[in-house]
Amino acid sequence: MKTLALSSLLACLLAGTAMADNLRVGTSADFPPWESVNEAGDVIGFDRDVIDEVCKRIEAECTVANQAFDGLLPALQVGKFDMVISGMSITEERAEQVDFSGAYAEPPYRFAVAAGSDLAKIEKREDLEAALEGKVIGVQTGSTHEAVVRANLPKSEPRLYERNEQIADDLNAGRIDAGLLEQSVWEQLMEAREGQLSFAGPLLSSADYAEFGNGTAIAMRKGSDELKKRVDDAVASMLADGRIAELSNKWFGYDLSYKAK
Amino acid sequence: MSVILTYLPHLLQGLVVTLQVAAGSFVIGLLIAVLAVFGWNFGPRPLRWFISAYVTIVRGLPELLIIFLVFYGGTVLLSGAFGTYVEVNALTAGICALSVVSGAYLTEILRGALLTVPQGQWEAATSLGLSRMTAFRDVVLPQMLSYAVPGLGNQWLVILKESALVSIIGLEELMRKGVVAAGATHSPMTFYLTVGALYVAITGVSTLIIGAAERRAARGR
Amino acid sequence: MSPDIFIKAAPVVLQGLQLTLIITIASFLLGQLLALPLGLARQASSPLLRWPAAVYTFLIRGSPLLVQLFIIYYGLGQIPAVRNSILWPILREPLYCGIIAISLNSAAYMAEVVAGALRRVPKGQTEACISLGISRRHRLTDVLLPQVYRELLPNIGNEIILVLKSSSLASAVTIMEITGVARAFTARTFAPFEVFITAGILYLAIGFAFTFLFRLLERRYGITGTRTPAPEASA
Repeated sequence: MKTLALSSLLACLLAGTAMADNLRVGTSADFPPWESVNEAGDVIGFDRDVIDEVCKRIEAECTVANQAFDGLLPALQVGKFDMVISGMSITEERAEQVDFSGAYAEPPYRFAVAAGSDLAKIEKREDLEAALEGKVIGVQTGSTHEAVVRANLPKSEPRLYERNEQIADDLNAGRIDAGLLEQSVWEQLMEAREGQLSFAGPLLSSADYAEFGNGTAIAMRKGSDELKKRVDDAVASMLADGRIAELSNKWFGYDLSYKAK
Repeated sequence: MSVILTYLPHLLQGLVVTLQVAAGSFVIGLLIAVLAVFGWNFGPRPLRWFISAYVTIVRGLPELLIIFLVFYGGTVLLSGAFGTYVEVNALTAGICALSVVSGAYLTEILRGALLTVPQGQWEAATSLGLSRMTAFRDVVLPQMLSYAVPGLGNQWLVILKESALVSIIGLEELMRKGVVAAGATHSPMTFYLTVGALYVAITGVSTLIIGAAERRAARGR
Repeated sequence: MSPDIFIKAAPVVLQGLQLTLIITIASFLLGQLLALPLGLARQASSPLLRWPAAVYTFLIRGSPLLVQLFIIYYGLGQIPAVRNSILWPILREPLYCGIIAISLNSAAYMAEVVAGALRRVPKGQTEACISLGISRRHRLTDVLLPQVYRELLPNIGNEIILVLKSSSLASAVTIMEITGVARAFTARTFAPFEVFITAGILYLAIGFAFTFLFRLLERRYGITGTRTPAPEASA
């Protein structure tokens, strides 16, 4: 009797541990409201909530670690992380190196300029492109925005910055003529810098510039087929039951969940 | 100026990390240097050549480049070498990179100090029947270290300042804390000056301690 | 590691070469120019000259170049008074900010070296000059400085290598010199080894070229018995 009880307890425990894996998640928490660090030092934000929910749905224990953005995919490749969620867009180049889950979000992008600049008055994308010829545009190093500028605005000069606040500061200082970032990031930056910056041109998406990528997704090591299937199912269910939309409204005030085309 | 006070705890946390990185790199760099000097003195010619190459190359490259190489490339190399993933966090990566850099300079400092030890000490030790190894370890090495103190002290100061470069790969040390605070409050001048002042403070204190150490090491000479 | 990334990396990394050379040479020359008055001030008899110079070198040598660079580029850039001043056309450009920061940094270290060398010149020479009626100015230009600079040729050769290495920090303020270009390329190709090794080889080549040049200068003008030492660290 005792042996039976003990062995069934052991079996349950083993089954329990077999069910819950420990997954390490990487992110670059310098990108509110997607991800940032609060005063207590914890990673918070839209992506944090999304990955917490995904992990719940795939029944895994996840720990989230913070590090520099351009080291995330290399770290994923060598096994430091099992998943990377960091407002990262699916691009062909990245898809060669890593596997992406189904997209969970598609944030709009926008150009911004110093308030009072002539560029702020422009409304149409084509007019803005023409006006930006010969001008300097600030983008983040290694981002899809950098690729967009290089591919579509060859007569403009891209300038690479580590942090998006530095782009805002240099816009204000007049060192660059425009910047390209996600709409949500601009909103955060503009809130903190009242009246210094204005939007220029319309909201942009991958329909305008393919280099923006095909939606924001979770990255995993190439060949993680089993994990990818579980994550894809979780993301699909979160899109279907509106959980992503709910989180999106919470953090952005609008719904940027991915809508299949 | 109250904005500085709000962020001061963050900055001081960063200062602790800076000291950790610097101390870790210094100790490991010193270990590398001692081994290198050992290898230089007792090792075969190819080893000498390798050590020479290491020192020349590292001293000719920008520290930032080495940090990038170790951080972005190093994990790939280590994981490949060990066959399985080797866990490296930002602190470890920073210490690895700076140890590689400081190891090269410390090797030269120790070699120079070794040459300063009078040849007579070697001769006396071996004529007393001590093996070359024992002579090195018990007679020459202690004297070499005492001659090396000024150079070692200077290298400590260099590492302290070099640690700021590790902020670029995202380590949350003093410089990075300053950049984040400057970004959050958009008062870059305030915070960069504060961070600068903190660095001057720790290099200043270090200089005083090194001065005392130098005087102590020079006792009896 | 694939050889074809090395081949692809080479022309890309070379794009940064021009800016690296501009920054290095400009900062070096400016730094040497500033180091002389600063070094003289450090050794001056008047405390009005000595103290500000000492404070300057203490602060610059006590803090990282990166902090100084950020103060000049981001710090000054956010002050409206600076943006409206005549200095703005210069401070607006990341390249000039980089050159200014590196020169000011190099000048501080060089000034201490110059001051040290001035201290070492035997007092007898000053006395001889005075008794010969040589003016202060000529004492400086005809007696002291030629000796000091010939003795310091190795240190100056060392300094240009240090300035070359410091130029890589310019990438932290958007300048696309060798390190900046390499980093941007790495982000696109995920091939850190190949790209950074290529950049490293380029830096070593430039360094060897400068060292060779200075060895030639030393042979012609240097005081025998001194030689350019291999680079020392300075940050």
